[in-house]
Amino acid sequence: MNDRYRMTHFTGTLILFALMIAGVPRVRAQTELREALKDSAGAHWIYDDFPKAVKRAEQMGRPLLVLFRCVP
Amino acid sequence: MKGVDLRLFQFDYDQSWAVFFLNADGTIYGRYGTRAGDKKNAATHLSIPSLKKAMERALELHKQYPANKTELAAKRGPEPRYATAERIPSLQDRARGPTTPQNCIHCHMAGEHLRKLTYREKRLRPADIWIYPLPENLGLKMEVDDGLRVQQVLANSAAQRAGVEAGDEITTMNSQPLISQADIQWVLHRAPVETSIAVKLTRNGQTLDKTINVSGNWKDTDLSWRESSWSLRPHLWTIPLSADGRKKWNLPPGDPALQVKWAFGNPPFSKQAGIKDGDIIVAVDGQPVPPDESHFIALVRLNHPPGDRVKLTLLRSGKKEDVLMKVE
Repeated sequence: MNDRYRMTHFTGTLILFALMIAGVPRVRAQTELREALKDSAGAHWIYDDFPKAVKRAEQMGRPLLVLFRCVP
Repeated sequence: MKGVDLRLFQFDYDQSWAVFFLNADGTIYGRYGTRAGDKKNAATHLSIPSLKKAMERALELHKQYPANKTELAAKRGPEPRYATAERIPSLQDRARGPTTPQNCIHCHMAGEHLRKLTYREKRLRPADIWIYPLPENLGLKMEVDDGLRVQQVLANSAAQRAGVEAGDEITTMNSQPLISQADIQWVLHRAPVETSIAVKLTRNGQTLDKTINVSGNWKDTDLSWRESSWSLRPHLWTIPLSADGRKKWNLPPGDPALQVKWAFGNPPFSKQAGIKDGDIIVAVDGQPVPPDESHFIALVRLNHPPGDRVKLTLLRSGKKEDVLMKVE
């Protein structure tokens, strides 16, 4: 199995699920958190939105990879 | 951890990096992420090759799904006391407002605050302290870049008695398909203290069944690296007394002694008892102090509920001195 195959099979179902944030200041808070994480996650990540990832995994028939990271 | 479903996401919460592989229906294929006692290196049990292996194994389980659904069922844990971390009473104030790096609920807090509550309710058990045993607890040292291939079987261990050998690849434990060392930890974490663990392995292309029998203190592991240990420490951070210290105080070889690195706490019960940084503890409740901090913590917390007092024997200027310290 090569790397492209592996990533293709998880693409769209990767989640950076360190925190759940709600409310109006969500975008600002997310920005602050991602800066703290030094996160440069690409488009294949779904950040902090588990229901969205589940829905996409269902649509694509792929498994999910859920990653928990500590905010320093 | 705000909003994270603890009914689904149960793992070693002291880790700062952990992975789950799931089906969209909530079935867990496996976990990845293991940390041991090395405080200078958090990645002794992690590597990119073993993560790739775990991904490949998860994909294989996904291909076989749902035919393997029954075997995967036990990868989910029991119903937790609180469905989310912010419902734990001592974490409720962190639930308010948007999450920032300052007020987020860190992973370790989920397990830690629940354990603190259990302690306050006087219901703390050894299983609350000795969590997520390593494969080494069975006597299995795994190849880091594989996760499931046995690199070494420790002498006189439960795994050796069961007939596991170096080079074996462990494929299931208690019928659960495995993808990583974290999956082994999950099986061990959920297993009772007195039990037999069914192991399926491959050796030279053959599938073999082995049974690892365990009992006693096999679940005990190093707690000192865990962030959650700060609230478990009985107002004292201790380390084994150094060789120089032992020589200085003429301690016979084999006599355990812990040195107080930091007397802390609010209220400062350790300082109120007269304990100072640098003090040497040689006995707890009249018995020799355990040889390491982890067992010292466990001994004090399991035998002394909140409000109780523990008798510590200190070695000061060559003389033994007893102090009574309140614990909370």
